[in-house]
Amino acid sequence: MNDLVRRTNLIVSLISFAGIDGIWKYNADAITLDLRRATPEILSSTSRKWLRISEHFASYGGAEVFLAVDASNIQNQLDAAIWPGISGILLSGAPDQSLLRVTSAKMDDMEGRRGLANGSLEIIPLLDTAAAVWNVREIISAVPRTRQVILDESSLARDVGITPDIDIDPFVYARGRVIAEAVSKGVQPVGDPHPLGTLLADFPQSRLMAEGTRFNDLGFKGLLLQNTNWVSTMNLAFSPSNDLVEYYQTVRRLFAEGVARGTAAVPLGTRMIDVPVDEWAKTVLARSARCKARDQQKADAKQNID
Amino acid sequence: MNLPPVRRSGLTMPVNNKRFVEKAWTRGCDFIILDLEDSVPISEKVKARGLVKASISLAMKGGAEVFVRINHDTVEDDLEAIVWPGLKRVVYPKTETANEISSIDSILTRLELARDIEPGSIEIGANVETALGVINAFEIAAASPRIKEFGGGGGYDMSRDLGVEMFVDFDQFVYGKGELELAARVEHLRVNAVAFLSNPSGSVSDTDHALRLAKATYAMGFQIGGGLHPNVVEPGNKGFTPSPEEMESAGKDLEFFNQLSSEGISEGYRNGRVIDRYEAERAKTLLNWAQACDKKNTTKSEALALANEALDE
Repeated sequence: MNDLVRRTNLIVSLISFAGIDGIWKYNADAITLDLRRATPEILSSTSRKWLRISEHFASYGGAEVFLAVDASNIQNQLDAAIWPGISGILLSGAPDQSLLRVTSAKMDDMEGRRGLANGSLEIIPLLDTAAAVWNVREIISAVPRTRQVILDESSLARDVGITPDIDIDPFVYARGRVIAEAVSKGVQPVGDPHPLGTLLADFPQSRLMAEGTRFNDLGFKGLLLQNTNWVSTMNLAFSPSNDLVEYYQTVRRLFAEGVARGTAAVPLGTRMIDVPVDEWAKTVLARSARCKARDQQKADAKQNID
Repeated sequence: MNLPPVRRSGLTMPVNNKRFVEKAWTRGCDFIILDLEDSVPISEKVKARGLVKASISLAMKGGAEVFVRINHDTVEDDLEAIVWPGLKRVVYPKTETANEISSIDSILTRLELARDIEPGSIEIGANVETALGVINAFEIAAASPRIKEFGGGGGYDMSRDLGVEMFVDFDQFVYGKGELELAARVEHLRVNAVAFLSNPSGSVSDTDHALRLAKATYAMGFQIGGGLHPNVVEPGNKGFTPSPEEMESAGKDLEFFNQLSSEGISEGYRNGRVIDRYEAERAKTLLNWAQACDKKNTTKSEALALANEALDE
């Protein structure tokens, strides 16, 4: 699987979000400016300048910048959105591969016209209907631009007629399907935790951390967030903790000692360490290093502003 | 009704660990997996292959079936070294495609013929331990008649592939396990599945947890166990074996249903439960399983006695 560190992707509406000039302060790994409900006026030439300025604001803190678009007015949205400095688009409303292929072809053209390397922009499909979840395999395989896929649980709940309820989790199967399919293709699965994403309530920090950890432990590599207050907690939830790093350093040391003695089955307390445990330890330690590097990158970007 | 194979308890051990292998037959397992894969360091692989033939004979002394887990990337060399009389199953790790299984099947067919082993008698255990294996589950399950049991979908390799921690307080593998079970059912294979019981400590030797896990797994309709530590053998044997109370109740259900049938009645109530032909079938299956367990226990006891006698001499 690719090794992107995109633990948090903060999505804000360009229409209704106040304070776009300070969006970079929330410390998200990525920021998505949502154009999906933008009217033709908003996409007009005057407003395009504002959009480009917003893209710059979003990137101030070292975040990658994406634009969320949909099928309804896609050519205008892409015309307005695609400029050097953005990392790609989030594409909603694709029940199968066809919209991805069409959009990717349009992006080929846009990249050529705007001085961007061909194929450099990502398309992150938002799986927002039952059909999209069912067709996840063809969706994530449709174009090589796809490195992440998002299970948009809020929209999926609307599509299948579920009223969000904090005590009921209706998407165990959908999550499992998306994670397995994505991982098998080397694409990172990203969550949009139902019903937190739809309720937008102020949860206690501990509850947020528990939810983030649960999504991490399911196999998601990050979350799409609408609430600015959740970003720092979710960055933590999707980074290996210090305790975990320390534990896996011990695993690596003991395993190496075991191998030197001629065995690859080494006890650690009541656990047993063998090759896959050591391999997982390597993965966790590498992930931790990448998360720290990403945090440093963002910190440096902020320092440059100051 | 044929008696099913009884595989309630199993121990996986590195074949290059002399101490483990020499004691294996005394542990009371229904099956033993001699490992050439993850518990054997790369530097020991060649030497380990050379130990398998003698280890099979040794491990089966206590009446256990003997399986060998090979390496995903050295199939031919491993199979050449392990296909000998006494081998019941080749365990193939990280199975991802049907082609991998077909290829193993072909090699086994050739080696069985060359080494005077009953054709088709060696089973293939297709361990699915990656997301790719999960999405190809149906093709894998149908890839060879040597696959008699199918399932899995958890474990360290799967956790590594998904990028998740192994020991958490919920079943992070539930989707994959479900897909594999469905594939097994479609192909009329025995399901090799395990219930989820939270085990944050990750202990491989906790007898209490092992017993609860075996009982929970059995209650879900599955009958196959396994483990890494001798402590979990007896809990496996016990947890997957019907209790005397269960057998008595099943016997009475069957008797009651037979009585109803003789009177031309299709269903009736016993102890507040509806007894119909489905319940009668369930009772028959349970009694059949109990009989199989009893037979396996006898086989192991007799084998153990013989082996101990030989030692005394």
